Amino acid sequence: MDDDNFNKSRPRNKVFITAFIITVALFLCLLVTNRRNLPSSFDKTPTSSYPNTPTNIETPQTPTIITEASVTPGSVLPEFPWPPPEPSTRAIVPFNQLNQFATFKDVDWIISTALTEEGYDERSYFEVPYGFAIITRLEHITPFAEPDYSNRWASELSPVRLNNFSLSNYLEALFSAPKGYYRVFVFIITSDIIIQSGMPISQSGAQGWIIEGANKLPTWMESLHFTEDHDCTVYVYEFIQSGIGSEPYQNIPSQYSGQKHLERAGIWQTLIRLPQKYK
Amino acid sequence: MANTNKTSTKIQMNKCQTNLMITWTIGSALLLIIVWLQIMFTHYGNNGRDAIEWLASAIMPTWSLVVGVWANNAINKDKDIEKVDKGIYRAVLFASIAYLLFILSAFAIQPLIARSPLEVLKDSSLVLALFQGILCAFIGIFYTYRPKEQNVTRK
Repeated sequence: MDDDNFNKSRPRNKVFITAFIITVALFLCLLVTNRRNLPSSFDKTPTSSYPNTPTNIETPQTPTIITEASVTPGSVLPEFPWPPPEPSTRAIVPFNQLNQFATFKDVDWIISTALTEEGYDERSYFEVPYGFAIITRLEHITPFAEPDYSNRWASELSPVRLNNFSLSNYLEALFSAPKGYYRVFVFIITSDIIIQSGMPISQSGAQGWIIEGANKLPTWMESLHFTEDHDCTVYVYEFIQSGIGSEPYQNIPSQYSGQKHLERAGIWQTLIRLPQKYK
Repeated sequence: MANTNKTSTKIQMNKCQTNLMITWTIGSALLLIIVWLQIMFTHYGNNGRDAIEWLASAIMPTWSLVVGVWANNAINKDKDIEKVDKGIYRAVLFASIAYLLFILSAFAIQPLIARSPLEVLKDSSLVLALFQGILCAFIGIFYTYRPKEQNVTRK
Protein backbone atom coordinates (compact mmCIF):
# COMPACT_ATOMS: atom_id res chain seq x y z
CA MET A 1 0.00 0.00 0.00
CA ASP A 2 2.81 2.43 0.98
CA ASP A 3 4.72 1.41 -2.11
CA ASP A 4 1.66 2.20 -4.21
CA ASN A 5 1.36 5.64 -2.62
CA PHE A 6 5.04 6.21 -3.14
CA ASN A 7 4.79 5.16 -6.78
CA LYS A 8 1.75 7.38 -7.28
CA SER A 9 3.46 10.38 -5.71
CA ARG A 10 6.64 9.93 -7.76
CA PRO A 11 5.33 11.62 -10.90
CA ARG A 12 3.91 14.43 -8.73
CA ASN A 13 7.33 14.89 -7.12
CA LYS A 14 8.89 15.05 -10.55
CA VAL A 15 6.46 17.81 -11.51
CA PHE A 16 7.29 19.77 -8.35
CA ILE A 17 11.02 19.37 -8.90
CA THR A 18 10.72 20.46 -12.55
CA ALA A 19 8.58 23.44 -11.56
CA PHE A 20 11.12 24.40 -8.91
CA ILE A 21 14.01 24.17 -11.39
CA ILE A 22 12.11 26.28 -13.93
CA THR A 23 11.30 28.89 -11.28
CA VAL A 24 14.94 29.10 -10.19
CA ALA A 25 16.06 29.34 -13.83
CA LEU A 26 13.55 32.13 -14.49
CA PHE A 27 14.68 33.97 -11.38
CA LEU A 28 18.31 33.73 -12.48
CA CYS A 29 17.38 34.95 -15.97
CA LEU A 30 15.56 37.96 -14.50
CA LEU A 31 18.53 38.71 -12.27
CA VAL A 32 20.94 38.64 -15.21
CA THR A 33 18.63 40.80 -17.35
CA ASN A 34 18.26 43.39 -14.59
CA ARG A 35 22.01 43.60 -14.15
CA ARG A 36 22.38 44.29 -17.85
CA ASN A 37 19.77 47.07 -17.68
CA LEU A 38 21.53 48.96 -14.91
CA PRO A 39 21.54 52.72 -15.42
CA SER A 40 24.33 54.09 -17.57
CA SER A 41 25.75 55.98 -14.58
CA PHE A 42 27.09 52.66 -13.39
CA ASP A 43 29.26 52.52 -16.48
CA LYS A 44 32.72 53.98 -16.53
CA THR A 45 32.73 57.58 -17.74
CA PRO A 46 34.59 57.84 -21.06
CA THR A 47 37.49 60.26 -21.16
CA SER A 48 37.10 63.50 -23.08
CA SER A 49 38.45 63.61 -26.61
CA TYR A 50 38.55 67.39 -26.65
CA PRO A 51 41.86 69.19 -26.25
CA ASN A 52 42.39 71.10 -23.01
CA THR A 53 42.20 74.84 -23.41
CA PRO A 54 42.16 77.43 -20.64
CA THR A 55 38.58 78.31 -21.44
CA ASN A 56 37.47 74.75 -21.96
CA ILE A 57 35.77 74.44 -18.61
CA GLU A 58 32.55 72.83 -19.67
CA THR A 59 33.72 70.53 -22.43
CA PRO A 60 31.31 67.70 -23.18
CA GLN A 61 32.56 64.46 -21.71
CA THR A 62 31.24 62.18 -24.42
CA PRO A 63 32.11 62.50 -28.11
CA THR A 64 28.59 63.30 -29.28
CA ILE A 65 27.47 65.62 -32.06
CA ILE A 66 27.11 69.12 -30.67
CA THR A 67 23.56 70.31 -31.14
CA GLU A 68 23.23 73.60 -29.32
CA ALA A 69 25.13 76.44 -27.79
CA SER A 70 25.32 76.58 -24.03
CA VAL A 71 23.64 79.48 -22.30
CA THR A 72 25.10 80.32 -18.92
CA PRO A 73 22.58 82.10 -16.73
CA GLY A 74 23.75 85.56 -15.81
CA SER A 75 26.20 85.98 -18.67
CA VAL A 76 25.56 88.79 -21.08
CA LEU A 77 26.00 86.80 -24.26
CA PRO A 78 25.30 83.13 -24.68
CA GLU A 79 28.43 81.07 -25.08
CA PHE A 80 29.29 79.61 -28.40
CA PRO A 81 30.26 75.90 -28.30
CA TRP A 82 33.98 75.94 -27.55
CA PRO A 83 36.08 74.52 -29.05
CA PRO A 84 33.87 75.10 -32.08
CA PRO A 85 32.50 72.19 -34.08
CA GLU A 86 34.50 71.08 -37.10
CA PRO A 87 33.77 73.50 -39.97
CA SER A 88 33.41 72.50 -43.61
CA THR A 89 35.99 75.14 -44.46
CA ARG A 90 37.35 78.39 -43.01
CA ALA A 91 38.97 81.67 -43.93
CA ILE A 92 40.74 84.48 -42.16
CA VAL A 93 39.56 87.98 -42.99
CA PRO A 94 42.53 90.37 -43.18
CA PHE A 95 41.48 93.06 -40.74
CA ASN A 96 45.05 94.21 -40.23
CA GLN A 97 44.24 97.50 -41.97
CA LEU A 98 42.28 98.48 -38.89
CA ASN A 99 44.09 101.05 -36.77
CA GLN A 100 44.97 100.62 -33.13
CA PHE A 101 41.88 102.53 -31.97
CA ALA A 102 39.43 100.17 -33.60
CA THR A 103 37.00 98.57 -31.22
CA PHE A 104 34.76 95.51 -31.31
CA LYS A 105 31.97 97.90 -32.25
CA ASP A 106 33.85 98.86 -35.43
CA VAL A 107 34.48 95.27 -36.34
CA ASP A 108 30.85 94.46 -35.66
CA TRP A 109 29.82 97.38 -37.88
CA ILE A 110 32.05 96.18 -40.75
CA ILE A 111 30.77 92.60 -40.59
CA SER A 112 27.15 93.64 -40.07
CA THR A 113 27.27 96.06 -42.99
CA ALA A 114 28.81 93.44 -45.26
CA LEU A 115 26.16 90.95 -44.23
CA THR A 116 23.24 93.36 -44.52
CA GLU A 117 24.32 94.43 -48.01
CA GLU A 118 24.06 90.84 -49.15
CA GLY A 119 20.71 90.18 -47.51
CA TYR A 120 21.88 88.50 -44.30
CA ASP A 121 19.59 90.59 -42.14
CA GLU A 122 19.23 88.01 -39.43
CA ARG A 123 22.27 87.27 -37.29
CA SER A 124 23.10 86.27 -33.76
CA TYR A 125 25.86 87.11 -31.31
CA PHE A 126 27.69 84.72 -29.05
CA GLU A 127 30.52 85.02 -26.63
CA VAL A 128 33.75 83.20 -27.31
CA PRO A 129 36.95 83.32 -25.25
CA TYR A 130 38.51 86.79 -25.60
CA GLY A 131 35.99 87.86 -28.19
CA PHE A 132 32.66 87.26 -29.80
CA ALA A 133 31.08 85.45 -32.71
CA ILE A 134 28.49 86.49 -35.29
CA ILE A 135 26.35 83.77 -36.82
CA THR A 136 24.26 84.05 -39.96
CA ARG A 137 20.99 82.28 -40.56
CA LEU A 138 21.08 78.95 -42.39
CA GLU A 139 20.69 79.70 -46.08
CA HIS A 140 19.92 77.58 -49.11
CA ILE A 141 22.75 77.77 -51.62
CA THR A 142 23.44 76.44 -55.09
CA PRO A 143 26.00 73.69 -55.69
CA PHE A 144 28.33 76.55 -56.69
CA ALA A 145 28.18 78.17 -53.23
CA GLU A 146 26.04 81.10 -54.39
CA PRO A 147 22.86 81.98 -52.47
CA ASP A 148 19.81 80.32 -54.00
CA TYR A 149 17.69 83.46 -54.23
CA SER A 150 14.60 81.56 -55.39
CA ASN A 151 14.24 79.81 -52.04
CA ARG A 152 17.03 81.27 -49.94
CA TRP A 153 15.85 80.62 -46.40
CA ALA A 154 14.44 77.14 -46.90
CA SER A 155 16.06 74.64 -44.60
CA GLU A 156 15.01 71.52 -46.46
CA LEU A 157 14.05 70.33 -49.91
CA SER A 158 10.42 70.77 -50.75
CA PRO A 159 8.35 68.40 -52.90
CA VAL A 160 6.89 69.34 -56.28
CA ARG A 161 3.99 71.70 -55.67
CA LEU A 162 0.73 71.01 -57.49
CA ASN A 163 -0.11 74.73 -57.79
CA ASN A 164 3.19 75.30 -59.58
CA PHE A 165 3.37 71.97 -61.39
CA SER A 166 5.77 71.38 -64.25
CA LEU A 167 6.27 68.00 -65.87
CA SER A 168 10.02 68.40 -66.18
CA ASN A 169 10.35 69.15 -62.46
CA TYR A 170 8.11 66.22 -61.64
CA LEU A 171 10.07 63.76 -63.78
CA GLU A 172 13.34 65.07 -62.39
CA ALA A 173 12.08 64.54 -58.84
CA LEU A 174 10.67 61.11 -59.75
CA PHE A 175 13.85 59.67 -61.16
CA SER A 176 16.75 61.58 -59.66
CA ALA A 177 17.52 62.57 -56.08
CA PRO A 178 17.44 66.36 -55.79
CA LYS A 179 20.23 67.69 -53.58
CA GLY A 180 19.91 70.60 -51.23
CA TYR A 181 22.95 72.66 -50.16
CA TYR A 182 22.85 74.81 -47.05
CA ARG A 183 25.34 77.07 -45.30
CA VAL A 184 25.96 78.94 -42.07
CA PHE A 185 28.74 81.52 -41.60
CA VAL A 186 30.31 81.95 -38.19
CA PHE A 187 32.55 85.00 -37.79
CA ILE A 188 34.80 84.47 -34.79
CA ILE A 189 36.63 87.52 -33.48
CA THR A 190 39.11 86.53 -30.83
CA SER A 191 42.73 86.84 -29.79
CA ASP A 192 42.72 83.24 -28.65
CA ILE A 193 43.90 80.40 -30.85
CA ILE A 194 41.07 78.30 -32.24
CA ILE A 195 41.30 74.57 -32.32
CA GLN A 196 38.08 73.04 -33.53
CA SER A 197 36.62 70.14 -31.61
CA GLY A 198 36.84 67.72 -34.51
CA MET A 199 33.17 66.91 -34.08
CA PRO A 200 30.67 67.70 -36.82
CA ILE A 201 27.43 69.50 -36.10
CA SER A 202 23.95 68.61 -37.22
CA GLN A 203 22.04 71.00 -39.45
CA SER A 204 19.37 71.46 -36.82
CA GLY A 205 22.09 72.33 -34.29
CA ALA A 206 23.58 74.98 -36.57
CA GLN A 207 20.09 76.22 -37.38
CA GLY A 208 19.42 76.66 -33.68
CA TRP A 209 22.29 79.13 -33.22
CA ILE A 210 20.29 81.93 -34.82
CA ILE A 211 17.58 81.52 -32.20
CA GLU A 212 19.88 80.98 -29.24
CA GLY A 213 22.17 83.95 -29.88
CA ALA A 214 21.78 87.57 -28.79
CA ASN A 215 20.54 90.27 -31.13
CA LYS A 216 23.57 92.60 -30.59
CA LEU A 217 26.81 93.09 -28.74
CA PRO A 218 26.53 94.30 -25.16
CA THR A 219 27.81 97.83 -24.59
CA TRP A 220 30.75 96.79 -22.41
CA MET A 221 31.96 94.51 -25.17
CA GLU A 222 31.55 97.12 -27.90
CA SER A 223 34.16 99.31 -26.24
CA LEU A 224 36.82 96.59 -26.14
CA HIS A 225 39.77 97.17 -28.47
CA PHE A 226 40.44 95.06 -31.52
CA THR A 227 44.18 94.59 -30.97
CA GLU A 228 46.92 93.21 -33.19
CA ASP A 229 46.41 89.85 -31.56
CA HIS A 230 42.80 89.67 -32.67
CA ASP A 231 41.74 87.86 -35.81
CA CYS A 232 38.50 87.44 -37.63
CA THR A 233 38.18 83.81 -38.62
CA VAL A 234 35.17 82.74 -40.63
CA TYR A 235 33.98 79.19 -40.15
CA VAL A 236 31.72 77.89 -42.90
CA TYR A 237 29.35 75.07 -42.02
CA GLU A 238 27.97 73.50 -45.18
CA PHE A 239 25.24 70.87 -45.21
CA ILE A 240 23.92 68.60 -47.92
CA GLN A 241 20.50 66.98 -48.08
CA SER A 242 20.42 64.07 -50.52
CA GLY A 243 16.80 63.72 -51.50
CA ILE A 244 13.51 64.84 -50.04
CA GLY A 245 12.92 63.68 -46.49
CA SER A 246 16.50 62.58 -45.88
CA GLU A 247 18.58 63.83 -42.97
CA PRO A 248 21.07 66.55 -44.01
CA TYR A 249 24.71 65.92 -43.17
CA GLN A 250 27.66 68.24 -42.82
CA ASN A 251 29.87 68.40 -45.88
CA ILE A 252 33.44 68.05 -44.61
CA PRO A 253 35.52 69.29 -46.33
CA SER A 254 33.64 71.67 -48.56
CA GLN A 255 34.28 71.68 -52.27
CA TYR A 256 35.17 75.37 -52.05
CA SER A 257 37.54 77.31 -49.82
CA GLY A 258 36.24 79.59 -47.11
CA GLN A 259 37.26 82.67 -49.10
CA LYS A 260 35.42 81.35 -52.17
CA HIS A 261 32.27 80.88 -50.09
CA LEU A 262 32.55 84.47 -48.86
CA GLU A 263 33.23 85.74 -52.38
CA ARG A 264 30.27 83.87 -53.87
CA ALA A 265 28.07 85.20 -51.08
CA GLY A 266 29.28 88.71 -51.95
CA ILE A 267 30.59 89.37 -48.43
CA TRP A 268 34.32 89.16 -49.00
CA GLN A 269 34.50 92.24 -51.21
CA THR A 270 32.80 94.41 -48.59
CA LEU A 271 34.89 92.97 -45.78
CA ILE A 272 38.02 94.05 -47.66
CA ARG A 273 36.66 97.44 -48.71
CA LEU A 274 35.21 98.73 -45.46
CA PRO A 275 38.26 98.50 -43.12
CA GLN A 276 40.11 100.94 -45.39
CA LYS A 277 38.02 103.67 -43.77
CA TYR A 278 39.85 103.00 -40.53
CA LYS A 279 43.36 103.41 -41.89
CA MET B 1 -32.51 32.69 -77.17
CA ALA B 2 -31.66 31.34 -73.74
CA ASN B 3 -28.70 29.46 -75.21
CA THR B 4 -27.34 32.61 -76.81
CA ASN B 5 -27.41 34.39 -73.45
CA LYS B 6 -25.60 31.51 -71.78
CA THR B 7 -22.79 31.48 -74.32
CA SER B 8 -22.35 35.26 -74.11
CA THR B 9 -21.61 35.07 -70.35
CA LYS B 10 -18.77 32.57 -70.85
CA ILE B 11 -15.28 33.12 -72.18
CA GLN B 12 -12.52 30.73 -73.08
CA MET B 13 -10.18 30.06 -70.17
CA ASN B 14 -6.98 30.10 -72.21
CA LYS B 15 -7.89 33.50 -73.65
CA CYS B 16 -8.45 34.87 -70.14
CA GLN B 17 -5.18 33.43 -68.92
CA THR B 18 -3.31 34.94 -71.87
CA ASN B 19 -4.88 38.35 -71.23
CA LEU B 20 -4.02 38.17 -67.54
CA MET B 21 -0.48 37.09 -68.32
CA ILE B 22 -0.06 39.99 -70.78
CA THR B 23 -1.49 42.48 -68.27
CA TRP B 24 0.77 41.31 -65.48
CA THR B 25 3.89 41.07 -67.66
CA ILE B 26 3.46 44.55 -69.18
CA GLY B 27 2.59 46.07 -65.80
CA SER B 28 5.50 44.41 -64.02
CA ALA B 29 7.93 45.36 -66.80
CA LEU B 30 6.81 48.99 -66.63
CA LEU B 31 7.27 49.08 -62.87
CA LEU B 32 10.66 47.41 -63.12
CA ILE B 33 11.79 49.97 -65.71
CA ILE B 34 10.70 52.83 -63.41
CA VAL B 35 12.57 51.39 -60.43
CA TRP B 36 15.61 50.59 -62.56
CA LEU B 37 15.75 54.18 -63.83
CA GLN B 38 15.32 55.51 -60.29
CA ILE B 39 18.20 53.35 -59.09
CA MET B 40 20.37 54.40 -62.03
CA PHE B 41 19.78 58.08 -61.22
CA THR B 42 20.42 57.41 -57.48
CA HIS B 43 16.88 58.31 -56.51
CA TYR B 44 17.20 56.02 -53.49
CA GLY B 45 20.84 56.86 -52.76
CA ASN B 46 22.55 53.70 -51.61
CA ASN B 47 19.24 51.97 -50.81
CA GLY B 48 18.28 50.94 -54.34
CA ARG B 49 18.32 47.31 -53.27
CA ASP B 50 15.49 47.98 -50.80
CA ALA B 51 13.31 49.41 -53.57
CA ILE B 52 13.89 46.38 -55.81
CA GLU B 53 13.13 44.06 -52.90
CA TRP B 54 9.92 45.95 -52.19
CA LEU B 55 8.81 45.72 -55.82
CA ALA B 56 9.77 42.05 -56.13
CA SER B 57 7.73 41.12 -53.06
CA ALA B 58 4.79 43.09 -54.43
CA ILE B 59 4.63 41.66 -57.95
CA MET B 60 6.60 38.43 -58.19
CA PRO B 61 4.24 36.04 -56.32
CA THR B 62 1.19 36.93 -58.43
CA TRP B 63 3.13 37.39 -61.68
CA SER B 64 4.80 33.98 -61.36
CA LEU B 65 1.43 32.37 -60.57
CA VAL B 66 -0.28 33.94 -63.58
CA VAL B 67 2.60 33.14 -65.94
CA GLY B 68 2.98 29.63 -64.53
CA VAL B 69 -0.67 28.75 -65.04
CA TRP B 70 -0.63 30.26 -68.52
CA ALA B 71 2.49 28.27 -69.46
CA ASN B 72 1.02 25.07 -68.09
CA ASN B 73 -2.18 25.49 -70.06
CA ALA B 74 -0.26 26.44 -73.18
CA ILE B 75 1.50 23.06 -72.97
CA ASN B 76 -1.73 21.12 -72.27
CA LYS B 77 -3.76 22.10 -75.32
CA ASP B 78 -6.70 19.88 -74.33
CA LYS B 79 -7.78 22.44 -71.75
CA ASP B 80 -8.54 24.94 -74.46
CA ILE B 81 -12.18 24.00 -74.39
CA GLU B 82 -12.58 25.15 -70.76
CA LYS B 83 -14.75 28.17 -70.30
CA VAL B 84 -15.09 30.56 -67.43
CA ASP B 85 -17.64 33.09 -66.33
CA LYS B 86 -17.04 36.50 -67.88
CA GLY B 87 -17.94 38.27 -64.65
CA ILE B 88 -15.27 36.47 -62.67
CA TYR B 89 -12.71 37.07 -65.38
CA ARG B 90 -13.53 40.78 -65.49
CA ALA B 91 -13.32 41.03 -61.73
CA VAL B 92 -9.88 39.41 -61.72
CA LEU B 93 -8.68 41.58 -64.60
CA PHE B 94 -9.99 44.73 -62.92
CA ALA B 95 -8.43 43.77 -59.57
CA SER B 96 -5.10 43.05 -61.28
CA ILE B 97 -5.06 46.40 -63.10
CA ALA B 98 -6.10 48.22 -59.91
CA TYR B 99 -3.35 46.46 -57.97
CA LEU B 100 -0.69 47.33 -60.54
CA LEU B 101 -1.93 50.93 -60.64
CA PHE B 102 -1.71 51.07 -56.87
CA ILE B 103 1.94 49.99 -57.02
CA LEU B 104 2.53 52.57 -59.75
CA SER B 105 0.97 55.26 -57.56
CA ALA B 106 3.41 54.42 -54.75
CA PHE B 107 6.15 55.60 -57.12
CA ALA B 108 4.20 58.41 -58.76
CA ILE B 109 3.43 60.24 -55.51
CA GLN B 110 7.03 60.23 -54.29
CA PRO B 111 7.91 63.66 -55.79
CA LEU B 112 4.76 65.18 -54.30
CA ILE B 113 5.38 64.17 -50.69
CA ALA B 114 7.95 65.64 -48.32
CA ARG B 115 9.21 62.24 -47.24
CA SER B 116 11.98 59.95 -48.36
CA PRO B 117 10.97 57.67 -51.27
CA LEU B 118 11.69 54.49 -49.32
CA GLU B 119 9.46 55.63 -46.47
CA VAL B 120 6.63 56.10 -48.96
CA LEU B 121 7.16 52.58 -50.31
CA LYS B 122 7.35 51.02 -46.85
CA ASP B 123 4.19 52.77 -45.69
CA SER B 124 2.25 51.80 -48.79
CA SER B 125 3.18 48.15 -48.25
CA LEU B 126 0.73 48.07 -45.35
CA VAL B 127 -2.21 48.66 -47.70
CA LEU B 128 -0.52 46.64 -50.41
CA ALA B 129 -0.51 43.47 -48.30
CA LEU B 130 -4.27 43.74 -47.81
CA PHE B 131 -4.79 44.46 -51.49
CA GLN B 132 -2.58 41.53 -52.49
CA GLY B 133 -4.61 39.20 -50.26
CA ILE B 134 -7.87 40.22 -51.90
CA LEU B 135 -6.33 39.89 -55.37
CA CYS B 136 -5.00 36.41 -54.60
CA ALA B 137 -8.46 35.37 -53.42
CA PHE B 138 -9.93 36.60 -56.71
CA ILE B 139 -7.28 34.78 -58.75
CA GLY B 140 -7.76 31.63 -56.69
CA ILE B 141 -11.50 31.66 -57.35
CA PHE B 142 -10.89 32.34 -61.02
CA TYR B 143 -8.52 29.42 -61.52
CA THR B 144 -10.50 26.90 -59.50
CA TYR B 145 -14.04 27.89 -60.41
CA ARG B 146 -15.72 25.61 -62.94
CA PRO B 147 -19.30 25.98 -64.15
CA LYS B 148 -21.57 23.06 -63.21
CA GLU B 149 -22.26 21.96 -66.78
CA GLN B 150 -18.50 21.83 -67.49
CA ASN B 151 -17.98 19.53 -64.50
CA VAL B 152 -20.73 17.25 -65.78
CA THR B 153 -19.17 17.18 -69.25
CA ARG B 154 -15.79 16.26 -67.79
CA LYS B 155 -17.27 13.37 -65.79
